Amino acid sequence: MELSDEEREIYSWQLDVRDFGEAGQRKLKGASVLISRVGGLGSLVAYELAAAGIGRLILAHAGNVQLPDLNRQLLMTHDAVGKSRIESATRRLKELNPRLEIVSVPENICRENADQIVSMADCVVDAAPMFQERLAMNDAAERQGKPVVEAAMYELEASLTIIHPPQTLRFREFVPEVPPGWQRRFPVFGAVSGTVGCLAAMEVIKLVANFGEPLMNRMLRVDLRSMQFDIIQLRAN
Amino acid sequence: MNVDKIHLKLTAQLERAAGTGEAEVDCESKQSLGIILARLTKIYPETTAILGQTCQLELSQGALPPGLLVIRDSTVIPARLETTVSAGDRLTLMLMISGG
Repeated sequence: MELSDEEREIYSWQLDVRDFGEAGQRKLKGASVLISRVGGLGSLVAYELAAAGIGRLILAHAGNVQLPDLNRQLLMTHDAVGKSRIESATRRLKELNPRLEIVSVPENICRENADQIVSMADCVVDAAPMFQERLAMNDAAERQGKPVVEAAMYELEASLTIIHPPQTLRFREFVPEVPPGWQRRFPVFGAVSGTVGCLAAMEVIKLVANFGEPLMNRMLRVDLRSMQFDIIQLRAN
Repeated sequence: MNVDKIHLKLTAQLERAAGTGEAEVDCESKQSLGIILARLTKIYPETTAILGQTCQLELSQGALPPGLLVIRDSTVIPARLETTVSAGDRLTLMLMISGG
């Protein structure tokens, strides 16, 4: 997967990152990443991966843009209210990176479609608001041997880890079933989804380009109320 | 018997239910996690909706809710009612969250 002269210029600042270089950039260009959904968190992941030069994004998200989306779903625009979320996300990403290939899936992940959608990707970003979707995505990724960047938020807190058994614990070892009481609507600022979305994008870049220390067997817990960032050891590496 | 304390940090929906992110609970030198959580629910009854009924926790009946991580010294410990904890421990009760 060779880089064009234009790509070398666009990515020139990141090509200078230690241990990344042209080899890493070619890996990004050759990679396919699934992001579900492309809401507050997923939007930022998609945008940062588009900026970094990922080759292909598979975006899964049903439904239309609604007004309450606009405090955090930065790929949505006010004039897109009432229109397809996926179309708005695709348009905004292509404005930034017209070379990006986008596969649009106007569905939310579930048990019935997870295997087929996950099969299109090398790596999965789990940014879903419901545990049912997270379980379906992780189960499918585990069957296919693919890593999942698990990112989540609630109010001013966020968590981030990588699930890739057998190198890591399985997602179901943390969440064996849907926890009772989780609500689809949760309190959050866009700055929280922006923070953890950017961190999740960096984990994808590290995984795909094989450099740095991805959060394997470690979870980053973020509390933006107190500005406390903690690394939690999930299992000895 | 001197009764000492165990410090609990509560996160996400637990913090919201209790109305505080920090709690201290009486703890003998060694005690089961179930008893500690039972004592927490007595202080903050709203947390029973998440952690379970006080009496069930006290009797180690059933299991803790799915998606609850218990963290001590930055390391996850088994989230089981019979897990032993100690006076002076600082535990974080972290519920897995799913906001996306």
